[in-house]
Amino acid sequence: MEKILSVRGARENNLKNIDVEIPRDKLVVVTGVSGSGKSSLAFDTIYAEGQRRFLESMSSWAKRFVQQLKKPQVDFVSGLSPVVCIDQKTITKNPRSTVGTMTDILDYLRMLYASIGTPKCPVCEEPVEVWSLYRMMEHILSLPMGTEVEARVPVLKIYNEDYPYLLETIRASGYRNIRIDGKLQDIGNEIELDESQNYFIEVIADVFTVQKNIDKQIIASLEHANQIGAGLFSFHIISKITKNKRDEFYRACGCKQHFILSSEMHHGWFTFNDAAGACNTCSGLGTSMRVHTPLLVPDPSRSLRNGAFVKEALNCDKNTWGGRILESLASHYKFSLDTPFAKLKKSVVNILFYGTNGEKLPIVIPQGATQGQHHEGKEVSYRGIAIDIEHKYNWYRKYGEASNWSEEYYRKIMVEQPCPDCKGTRLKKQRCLVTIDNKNIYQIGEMPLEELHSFIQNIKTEDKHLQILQTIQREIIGRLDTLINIGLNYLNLNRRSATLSGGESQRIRLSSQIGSGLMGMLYVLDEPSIGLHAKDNAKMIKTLRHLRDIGNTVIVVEHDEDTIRAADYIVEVGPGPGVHGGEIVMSGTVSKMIKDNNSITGLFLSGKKQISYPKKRNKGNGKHLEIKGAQHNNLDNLDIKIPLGNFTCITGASGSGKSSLIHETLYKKLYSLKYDSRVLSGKHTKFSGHEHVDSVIHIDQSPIGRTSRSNPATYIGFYDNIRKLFASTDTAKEKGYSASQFSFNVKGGRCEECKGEGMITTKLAFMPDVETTCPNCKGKRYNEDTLSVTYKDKNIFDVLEMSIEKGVAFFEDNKLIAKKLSVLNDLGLGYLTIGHPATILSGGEAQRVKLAAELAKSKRGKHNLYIFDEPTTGLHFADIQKLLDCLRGFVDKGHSVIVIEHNLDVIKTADYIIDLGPEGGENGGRIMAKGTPEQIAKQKKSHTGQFLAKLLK
Amino acid sequence: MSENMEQKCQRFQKALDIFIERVEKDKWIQAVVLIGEISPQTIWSKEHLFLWVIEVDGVTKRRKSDGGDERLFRTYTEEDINIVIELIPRTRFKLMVEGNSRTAFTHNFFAKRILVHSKDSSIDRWFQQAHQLATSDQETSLMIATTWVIQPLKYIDQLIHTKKDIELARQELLGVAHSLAAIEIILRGEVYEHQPIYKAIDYNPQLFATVYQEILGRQRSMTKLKKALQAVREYLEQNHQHYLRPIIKFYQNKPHIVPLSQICDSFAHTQIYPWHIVCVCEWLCNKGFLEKISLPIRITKKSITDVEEPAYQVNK
Repeated sequence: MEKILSVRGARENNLKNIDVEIPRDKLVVVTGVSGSGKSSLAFDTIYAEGQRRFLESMSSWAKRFVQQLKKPQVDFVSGLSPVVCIDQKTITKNPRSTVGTMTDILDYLRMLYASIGTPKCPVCEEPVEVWSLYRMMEHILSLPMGTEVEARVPVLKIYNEDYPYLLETIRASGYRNIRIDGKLQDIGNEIELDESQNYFIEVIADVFTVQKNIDKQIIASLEHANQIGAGLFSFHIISKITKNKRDEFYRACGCKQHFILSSEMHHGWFTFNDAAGACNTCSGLGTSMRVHTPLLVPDPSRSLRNGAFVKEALNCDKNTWGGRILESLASHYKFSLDTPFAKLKKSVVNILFYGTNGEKLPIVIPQGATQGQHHEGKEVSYRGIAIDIEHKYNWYRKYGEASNWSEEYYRKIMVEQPCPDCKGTRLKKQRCLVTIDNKNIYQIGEMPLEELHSFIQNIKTEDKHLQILQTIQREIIGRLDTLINIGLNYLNLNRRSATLSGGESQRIRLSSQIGSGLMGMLYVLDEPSIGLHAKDNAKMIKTLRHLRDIGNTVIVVEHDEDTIRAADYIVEVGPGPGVHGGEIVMSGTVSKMIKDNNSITGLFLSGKKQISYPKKRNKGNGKHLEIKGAQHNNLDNLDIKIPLGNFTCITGASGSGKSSLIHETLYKKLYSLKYDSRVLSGKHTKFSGHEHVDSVIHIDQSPIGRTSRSNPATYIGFYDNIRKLFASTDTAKEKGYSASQFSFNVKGGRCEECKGEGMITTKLAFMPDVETTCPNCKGKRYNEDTLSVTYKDKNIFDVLEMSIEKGVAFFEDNKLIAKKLSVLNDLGLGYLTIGHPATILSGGEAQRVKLAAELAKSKRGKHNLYIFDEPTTGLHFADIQKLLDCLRGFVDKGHSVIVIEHNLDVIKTADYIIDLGPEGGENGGRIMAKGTPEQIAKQKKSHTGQFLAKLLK
Repeated sequence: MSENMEQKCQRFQKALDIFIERVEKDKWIQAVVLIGEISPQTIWSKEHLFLWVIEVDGVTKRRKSDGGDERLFRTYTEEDINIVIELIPRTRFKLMVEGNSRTAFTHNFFAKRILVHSKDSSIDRWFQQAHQLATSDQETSLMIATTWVIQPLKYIDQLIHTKKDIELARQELLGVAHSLAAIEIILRGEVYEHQPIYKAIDYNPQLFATVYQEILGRQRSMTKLKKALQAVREYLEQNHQHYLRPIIKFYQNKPHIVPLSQICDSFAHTQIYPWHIVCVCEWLCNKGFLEKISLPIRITKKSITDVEEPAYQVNK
């Protein structure tokens, strides 16, 4: 077998017809400055070609069902094997996806619960036995002929509904007789029940008279009853029978008090993604929405008559019910509809939101109204706008009537809260009563993976279930081992996927690959070290080596020094970004790289070049943000002072509580105080110092939206200004062109042949789509009339093709455009063109475009707080220096910067460090050290301190 | 020689007996229900027997000839009389009897059927229970029957005062009398049957003399018609608290305005449909018990403009 993966004539994106040979079955790192073409080589060439060839091997029939990939711009790639790509972009926002579902551990756990779980009686919570319907049938048939047995099914009250509703539901399911606390009742009769009381309600599913040939009848009847009773049954003899026989029957039949038995459990019972398991109220989401009243009044300075309420919530037109009720309330409670909402009395605001509590008031028709006069003088009570919305929301949810529009509207005015029925467990109450070692599936999903590991390992069961247990245990333990080994020990299975960082999500997918145990594969990974503390990084490297050792080729696009040093082979792409890159600077071992003076990475590795750090630390402006009693997630009642006017770095092991402290508590609290009160911050007892901050800006790792129609100019928003500039030229005015003429997204000025894309895509049934340059505009995206308009002798297409670097000078007369271009330029993106399609931006470039978009916003105050979550994602050593210069620039202007970071080169340049730890999950959430990097380096109990000490020597 | 009705009855009975005798030996058949009855009064138009045959669950598979309908029909023959049977699995039959026997009219559906064979005491019990009208079901039935009285009253007024069509008004009033008869039957917890008017005349001779017999008589006059209408109105006036109890009870616990859609939602599991509710609410508004207002609603889930729907509240 060929031991070399050989790429010939690669020309994808900025690659300059390069040839490269990569050894197989090795750990290979592709590195280089951001935008140099690393991803173009690893993902767009090697991975794309491997995947394309695999799909090509399918039959034409099968090809119709999968999207075919375009052949990359490469002459030849040899030595390819099945290829798997694990990038950071695939982060699902689906609220039903959790760590448990992503890793398949939940699937095994639910099988475990279905096989060996112990159900409990919903009334006395005594363990009950699991019997198959056949066993129940046999037990009934063991009674003497002619014995009458009543089969009952316990039911629980439906959340937020009254007892009559439950009874009607039972009736609609085909059952007329029930027992309430043991007393027989006919639902056809009126049954008075106290809503505040809890009753033990059992539906009488059937009455069987023991005789021959009723086995099928019993099974069919019980199967049907299973639908209403969530799998629990009890059987009661209702005819005369000897005491011995009776005792014998009941002895083995369910809990002692209620004789409840569980039917065989199904794995669907233990997942919130199956109707059999999902909570009825939230359908398995674990959350519900409630009105957050401040959101109903976006601008409290407006009066009610002037539309203080969100338009969709209450129409204030005088000819509508909304107008009439407001007028009536104002007249009755003596307030003016012209008073700004903020100045209304608290009692009035209460009535508006929560109603008149049954008190009636006469309807007053607003002056000038032409409709509704027939209502005048009628006395009505008012339910309140918030109650009304919640009622409608529940109605929509109950009947599946929600539409995109209504969902969007409700999201605008409501906030998420744990489902009041299941309290966030997502499961039906009956399912949570099934336990293994006294823990239900939700409770073990809350355990950090390490704790879960020991829990699973220590499960004991009866001999008959031992084989099942061992099989499932093996699968779960294998997966947990991998997750723990790659530093994800702090996660738990209930954690929503949408809340994971790109790095965490990538490592989870990596763990499932390792779990597959395949060999001969080619794995392509994108910066797996992101989000990992230096101490966890070693585990990650060990995992990559393991993947290699079992017979795979691992190609990693990476900037991390430890990973580069751990590689068997390194390919450096460069030397510069964009057009200045696209060549192979060097390929070989680490020692070769260190000796190679052309290799910028080698220069950093050898120490010939390094990121400098200030010898004197900035002490800040003497003001602080102070949080007391922070308890969100694993935070251990922290009291913390964060200095303002300097560059603070938050460090700590993955899962130690950095994001809980900074994002969930600090940022959300500031955001709610400054902008949007519906944002609920993490739990804390006191927060002060917010008056020292004018604005808060948070820049996280979430990827920017990428379509071929978006580019740096549209993303940051200065393309509108460029279009307006063109529209203000004399030629444009003569021709009557507005700014929209210069948009490639709308009809008018764009080329209609290609709809402003510049390329025409031809779809072929089972072959990849073919892209050709538009024959009409020749790729210029606009029609000739539009292109005839010029600004400083350049038409709009020329501007799009202009590099950002040149753009700064070209637009020097226009301050706004020049400022935004210079932010991009300052971040090292000068080589990109203004119209560079977002689809071909590298990860690091996209990250910096996003950064530039935030930094370019001009509305900020004198003292802003910038919060960055791992800003070095996708950045090479050389780019990190540029980023640090930019951050330092903010501090110099009097702003404050807080950075959550693992990169030691960033940490060492900080003015102040807060180190959390010592570990992740329950073992984290405490402050290990705080102070300048020099002070931290002296703290032996701080992991970060130990690593810093080596660096600051 | 043509047979008389007695002989025809005997022939049909014999066919039924033979069929029952055969299925008694069939362990998979739980019960047989005769639809209709074999009597000289009803046999004259019969061509075949129609039975429900209750089988043990999960036995019979569908055939192609059964088509897309969920129900399975088969035709057999005994004594040259065709016996059309509907084959019903036991569990489905239970749902038919217990789940759907909601009102006097569906009770009647079972009352007119005779359990001619049963090996399953549960089926005997269901049948027995289906013949008893439960109080809540009775209230529902009463209210539905009352809407059949309320609804035509306005139309009759219009026929008299606007169209001056006394004859049509008379016919409509006879229809009202039949609905009143249904009320009288339900009121006594009995099963609603064909021609309830005869029983109702016995139960409330004074009312039916005015609203039925007088109107039906040869001497027709506007005075009689108005007197009958007046009697109906007084009857409703005196009894509406009882007859319209489901809606009145619903409102007693509601301190605020309730839109029609919400009331309908509360009765979604019953056989009280929106038009029954509107009819009752409007009548209660006329009587001053309820007050009608309107509240905004959107027609479709995608609509963003409001229309108004009737809403009612207790008029204190």
